[in-house]
Amino acid sequence: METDDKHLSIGWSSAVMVFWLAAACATTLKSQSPGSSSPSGRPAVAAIMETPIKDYNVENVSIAEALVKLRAQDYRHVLIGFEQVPHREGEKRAPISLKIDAGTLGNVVQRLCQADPRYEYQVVESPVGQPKLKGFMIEVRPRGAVNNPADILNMRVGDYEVDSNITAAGAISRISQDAPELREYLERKAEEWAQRKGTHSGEIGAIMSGNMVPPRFTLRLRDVTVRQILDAISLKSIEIYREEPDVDSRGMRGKPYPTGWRYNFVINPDASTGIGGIPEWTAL
Amino acid sequence: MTANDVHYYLTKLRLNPHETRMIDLRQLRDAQVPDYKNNLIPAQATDGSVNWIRIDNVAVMGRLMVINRGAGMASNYDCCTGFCPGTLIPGSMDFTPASATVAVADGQQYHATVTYMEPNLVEDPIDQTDWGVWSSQYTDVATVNDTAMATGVAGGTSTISIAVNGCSQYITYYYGGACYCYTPATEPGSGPLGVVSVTTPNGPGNIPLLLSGSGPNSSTYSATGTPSGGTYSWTPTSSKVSLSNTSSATATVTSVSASVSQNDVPITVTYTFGGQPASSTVVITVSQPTSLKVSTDTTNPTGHSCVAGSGTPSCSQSYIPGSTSYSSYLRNRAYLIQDQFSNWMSGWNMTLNESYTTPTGACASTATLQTGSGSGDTVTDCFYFCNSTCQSGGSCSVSSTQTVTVNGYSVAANSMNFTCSGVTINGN
Repeated sequence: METDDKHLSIGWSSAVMVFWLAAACATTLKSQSPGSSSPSGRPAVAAIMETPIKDYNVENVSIAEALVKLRAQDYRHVLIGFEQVPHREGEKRAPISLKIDAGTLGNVVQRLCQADPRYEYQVVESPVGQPKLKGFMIEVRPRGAVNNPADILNMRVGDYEVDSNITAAGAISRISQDAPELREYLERKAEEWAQRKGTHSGEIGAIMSGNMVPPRFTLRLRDVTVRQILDAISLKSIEIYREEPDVDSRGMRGKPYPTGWRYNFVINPDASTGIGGIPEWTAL
Repeated sequence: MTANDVHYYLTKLRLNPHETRMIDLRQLRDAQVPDYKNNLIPAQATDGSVNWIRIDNVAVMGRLMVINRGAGMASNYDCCTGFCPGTLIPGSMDFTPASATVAVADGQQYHATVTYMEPNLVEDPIDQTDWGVWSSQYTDVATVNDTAMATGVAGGTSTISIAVNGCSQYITYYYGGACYCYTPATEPGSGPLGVVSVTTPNGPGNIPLLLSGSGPNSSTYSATGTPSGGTYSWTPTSSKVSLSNTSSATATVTSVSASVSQNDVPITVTYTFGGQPASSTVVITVSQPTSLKVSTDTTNPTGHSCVAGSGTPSCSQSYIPGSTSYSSYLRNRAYLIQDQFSNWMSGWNMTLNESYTTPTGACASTATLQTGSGSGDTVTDCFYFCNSTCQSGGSCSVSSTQTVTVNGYSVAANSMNFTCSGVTINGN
């Protein structure tokens, strides 16, 4: 099972890399070094890694589910950015079981990455925009992802700006619209796909929203990667959590906890996105 | 009475007019009950002396008889020394307890003892608990009755006081044999009575559960204890919640597992002041987002603009390839988020998300699905369909299943079918 998955992953990466490399000049994909890990990949010791974890118990779950469960240990302090290995819809991998009665976040993440060696982790120690929040979140991502020029999260964005009443989760899910280079790239690929297929694109709208007006979310970043933007959005959510009252002016309770991010790419060569699959940015 | 140089005080001895009272001193000795000053009549005492005092301006006769079991009355002393009553010694009030705390509706017995000077200069403490005038500074905090029993009414502090009227100096007119008070005196006594109470914890009646996302799943609960300066302690009696900041006036309650029945989670705060605890409990429900209830559902046949070009889509406008625009329908639907008891989880900014299965149908591969997210206690969805085939008068349909999650819990799975003329949700 594991061998099959590795073959699948490598095969896909190779195919897409060739495809994207052709566009690399236009999109100026560059590798980045968001953290301060050593070349060996060992993360620097940071406060988040020492976050106490108690009674952590997952059985037969994916690493994505395990991270969701890990975050539920302490929503205020466990902040994770998770880039999932590209996969086909419904694809299963050998499940993870892990039981830790008392440990730290570092222990758990390390064990999870050992259980699914396709992943590595790194503390975000040089966040853009929020230098005071270094060491407040970790990234779990495919091994070598930050140096993979085909990884869409490494795409450079010249000027990212959000200034509206949205939640951090909303900003994460809208990044494909708010990051100009990413938006233009995705639009162009979709248009190229439509032209190749000789079909016309359209939109199905099913836009959900809530009745809460979130606090103002203002973030402007220049010359950063998509990955750095996602990290910055998550770290911004810490600031908002600290500043917002427990009950807003309308009497609504429950300011959002600091919000992590998740990037998921479902491989589908026929997808109308034109990039060999469907990318999805969501809150974690 | 005095025996072996020990004074033993009968501080509560009080006679009614014309009453004659016999006191068995031997019985008192043998009982070995401490007096007001914790003195005991020496157990081996066989003789001694007796003093009595009158604090009212009336004559009192006293007689001490010694009775020998074998020989009958052995001695008989009769005495009525002095014309005037004993004088109240200013500042001699012994007020107990000096301070006290009680819970609401609980009682505190007070005692007041004043010392008088006999004409022969012997001092006698007299229990005036039942004879002074008692009062409470704040009767909405505590009351006190004529027998010095104070009762807590509400949280706060009130001073409990007694005033004992007497005379600190008499003058005597020998010719008439009368005795007059020359210096009236009132002896006061008082002490603070703290009535300990704590308000019912103030917070929401329910707390949502959180499976994943950004929440919420906790809330603060506050209580105010009086008198101020005490300590707080919060305890859950249910494993359905966990508490933090449990030693302050405001505690944080976090949901752990769903309620089985409504209001099955008690949250108790205990406020302790002066060693006296007071508790108050509120019961809450741990609510799991479970279902959606349609609150409004409207369709505007031309409510959405399908604009040629590109841009950020919204409920009112989205973008299609080409150079011409057209109007399409817009269906707006709002839902209330309900918990496991079908109650609206009102007032919570819950995390709302939706996901769709891969669209199927004639135009599925040519359409981009635009979704959204949000937060609140109400879910709103807007549905539209912009497609070049529809624009040119053709027919088209796309089907998908929408899954709505609230705080990570799946609350709805709707079968959606978009066509050029409208959208159906679960066939409606």
